[in-house]
Amino acid sequence: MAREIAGLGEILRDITIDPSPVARDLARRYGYLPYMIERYIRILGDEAIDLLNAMENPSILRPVARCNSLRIGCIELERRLSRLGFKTRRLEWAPEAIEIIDHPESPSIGATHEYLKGFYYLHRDYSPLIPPLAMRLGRGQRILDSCAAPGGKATYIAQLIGDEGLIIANDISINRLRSLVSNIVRMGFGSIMVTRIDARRIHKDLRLTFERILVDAPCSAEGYIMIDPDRKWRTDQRDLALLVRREIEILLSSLELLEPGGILAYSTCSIAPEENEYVVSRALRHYGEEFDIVDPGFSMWSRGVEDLLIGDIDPRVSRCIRTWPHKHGAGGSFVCIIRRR
Amino acid sequence: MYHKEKVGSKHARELLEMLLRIYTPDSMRKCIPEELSEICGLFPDICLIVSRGDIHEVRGISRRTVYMGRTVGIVIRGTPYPYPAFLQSVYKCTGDIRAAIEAYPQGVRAFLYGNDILVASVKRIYRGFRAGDIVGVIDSEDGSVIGIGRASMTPEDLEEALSRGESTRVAVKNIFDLGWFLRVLKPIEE
Repeated sequence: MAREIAGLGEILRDITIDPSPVARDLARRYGYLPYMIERYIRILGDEAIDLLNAMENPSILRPVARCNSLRIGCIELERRLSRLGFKTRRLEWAPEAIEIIDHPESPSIGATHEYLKGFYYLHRDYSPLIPPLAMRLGRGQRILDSCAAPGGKATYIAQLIGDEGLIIANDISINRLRSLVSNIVRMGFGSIMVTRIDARRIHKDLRLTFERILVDAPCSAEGYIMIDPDRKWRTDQRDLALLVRREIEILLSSLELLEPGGILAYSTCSIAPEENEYVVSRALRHYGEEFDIVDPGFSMWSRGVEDLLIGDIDPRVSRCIRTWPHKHGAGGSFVCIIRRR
Repeated sequence: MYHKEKVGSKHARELLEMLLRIYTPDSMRKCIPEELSEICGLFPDICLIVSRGDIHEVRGISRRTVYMGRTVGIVIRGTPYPYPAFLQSVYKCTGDIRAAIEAYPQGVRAFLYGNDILVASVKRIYRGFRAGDIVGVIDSEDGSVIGIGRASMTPEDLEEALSRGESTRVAVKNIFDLGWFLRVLKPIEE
């Protein structure tokens, strides 16, 4: 399958928007680049202010201890955490998720004996749990996680398939690979193979097809400004275009490895439509009728945005999922489920 | 960067020989992991001995494979040791805990910070070791193996030290514990 990747100039033309005076004023007040505010206003209208205020508040992110149900019962883990002084709450839609709503001075939730024993994985909030749950996983499947480190989603996938099957967990950064492997070893999974391949060319290096693929693309992290405030001014539109091009390359490369009938989840921890709806639309346009977006079947989060006035956005992106910090009390994220016909 | 060697790798053979000195070949037969290989260069100072288990080689990517299967051992300065979770699976598989000590919570806490187990922290002794041998360290609260160490004395001497109240003597020197990764690696959030 021939793949022509979009040129940087074309992407930049597609995503460039002209901020209104209102956007410029808000950008000054909150310390953002004006183009970012302009699209918040286009997507959210008056709610944009709520989003900006939520991004000023790191405490909206509540850590989630994802219980390793292959090693310990989740009720028992919750009991142990409570004995250590943590106040917890279970998430209805993710049976393994224990949200930490208050914590003692010591120990830190990332350094309890239960953590060291591999009884749970620590997520900074619940958003990362959504993609694996949306992938319709089953025991014995062959699964690729194209950008897997530090391993939260890969280990969740291993858990959801009962550690029976084959997961290829790939990444390129050696530091992040160390974290990935240490999490796999700590949690004791046996079905994961870790590879070091540039995800932009993964279809050239892996001679395998997969029933399920996760592309959790390295992104600008615009959904987590509350813990990374530099993002307000760090990524101008040219830098964003570079990220978008890489995201398109990774998605196209991974789509080539998807079996007919197979499902790929594309996710980011960004609320930038350029990195989400635009990337997915470009991929769908590239492959024509071969791929479709399917509804993941969750109703508690927002939908993808079709009317963005940037590039050509495929209307099917309205089947994708968005979490918004001000609406959902979590980091901003995006998940889209793509099926090969 | 990654050095992988199939077993017969020397270290994996030595690891199995170590276990066969503690357990009889008959009791260990069904507990011996298959398809062992060694992975070096990923973490500072240690190599991992892994059992491939049900994972089969994927054609054409062995050069790009960093890790696969389940960790059964670690190699520190050229010496192989059983990985704590593997030791736990041996205890379960043989139905017999040998060459181990069970530690009280204060000892567990110290051990997971890289410290040794003092005599005062030993709650129970599982025989089958001599002074200088490798022993498993078990958390008395839930029976988890939290690390491995080197016994500073025989079980008899340890019992005697306990009865004489020599509480600050080192009973087990820390070789590897489950806190190692956390101490060595910078955490990456997700």
